Amino acid sequence: MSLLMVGSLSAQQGKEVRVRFSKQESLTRIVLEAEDSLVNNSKITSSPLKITVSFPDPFTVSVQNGLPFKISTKDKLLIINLSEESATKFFRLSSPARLVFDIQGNDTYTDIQSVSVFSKVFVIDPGHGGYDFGITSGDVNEKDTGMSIAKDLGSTLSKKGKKVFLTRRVDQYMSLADRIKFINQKSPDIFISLHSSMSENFIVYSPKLEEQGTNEIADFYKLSSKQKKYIEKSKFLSDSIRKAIKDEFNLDVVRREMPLPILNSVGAPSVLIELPSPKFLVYDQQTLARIKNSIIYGIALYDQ
Amino acid sequence: MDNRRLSGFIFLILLFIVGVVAGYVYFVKVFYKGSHALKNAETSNITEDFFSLRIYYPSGDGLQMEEKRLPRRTAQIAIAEATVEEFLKGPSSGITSGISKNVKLLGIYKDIDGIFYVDLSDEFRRNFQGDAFAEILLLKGLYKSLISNMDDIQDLKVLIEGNEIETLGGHFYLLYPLKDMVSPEFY
Repeated sequence: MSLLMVGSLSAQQGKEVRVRFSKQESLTRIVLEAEDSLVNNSKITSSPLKITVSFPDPFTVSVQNGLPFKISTKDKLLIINLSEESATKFFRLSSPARLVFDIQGNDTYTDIQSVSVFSKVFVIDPGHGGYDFGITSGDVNEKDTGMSIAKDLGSTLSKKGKKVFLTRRVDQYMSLADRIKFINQKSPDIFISLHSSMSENFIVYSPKLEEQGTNEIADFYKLSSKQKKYIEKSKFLSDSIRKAIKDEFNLDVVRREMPLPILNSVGAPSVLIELPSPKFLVYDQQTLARIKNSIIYGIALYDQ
Repeated sequence: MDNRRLSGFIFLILLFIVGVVAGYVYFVKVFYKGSHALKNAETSNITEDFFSLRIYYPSGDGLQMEEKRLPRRTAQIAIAEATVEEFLKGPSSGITSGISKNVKLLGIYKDIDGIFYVDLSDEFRRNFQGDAFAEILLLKGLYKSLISNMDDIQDLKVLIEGNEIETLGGHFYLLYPLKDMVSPEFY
């Protein structure tokens, strides 16, 4: 194996990280091998485009020739820049101490980029936020899962040339009234709200309008409903996304109609998607990508 | 003569003893009956001093009713308080109800239109862990529990720490009375 030195932060200390890789069909495996203390005390963060490894001490790097990804170093960081959005699985192994990253080929992402979406303006609503964590399970919060998918979904739609607005881009509380106002100001072609459920199922909600209100409160619900014109489109959008999720995950997807204010008060085809509880689904990069992709497929199905 | 007097004396003593025993037996019976009747009357009063509440707890995809027996209350507000307190305690059947933990009832008020205002501690909002369906079932259970035990309630509005808040769990409005939101057979 021929190795190329790409970084030297503290050669005199002799702590070296050796980078090698192997490829099999669409899977690339990157292995970072180093002494125990360096590997065991490292911290890893990953996104679809980047893997960052933070080591506890300075190090030098030697890289196997032909690595299909760019590697850079900064202070105690080693950064692997992935050429395209990828799903990454990570393992920390011993004897010898090493970090292993399995990077899934981007066939599915290429596919998703080629999917035709005709709607032009989207509003995506990551539910909850700020002090409102939503459903929590261990370290996983509803507000963060929704945000992660919303950003990823927004990014993919933007790459398709679509106008995408998120009701919130940071971890902040936003009232239902403010969300509704924001959504209607943007006059979207499609509105998607992302939440979590308590169950093992995906649940897809479309709006439900109640015509029999007789007092002022019922009237409030009725009059606040800007949804009337779009109710059939909302149902079709919900059915389309339900089908796409079902196809992708091979799971039963519950479909409900409910007078949720965030759906009933929006003047656009609208859907609220509840993701399965983290007790039943592991929200790793790959799962998040699959959810995003299935929503895109659902939108494409609706647009046809 | 002495013998005759002695026999008469003994006879009188025996007559006295028989009389005492008979009297004792008679009075014990009467007393026993009386005390038994009194006990029955007391038991009867105790039975009459209890009443039943029907409480509806979220369970799975619907509500499950449990009957609770409590010391009788007559005032409507007291019945409403007992209903809400029993609801907040959760079901005795052990089902998972999704009712927020450690919630305190701070007060119940009724306005001239028959709308009851149930004022709950912030734990009702803060400790709620549920999705949209769990949220509507929780509110529906509270509403149905109250209307099932009271005659003159027109609607129910929930306050948190004395204030109106927009939403319990981020899915439904809590700013308005609940009837029109929870009554239709949406769920």
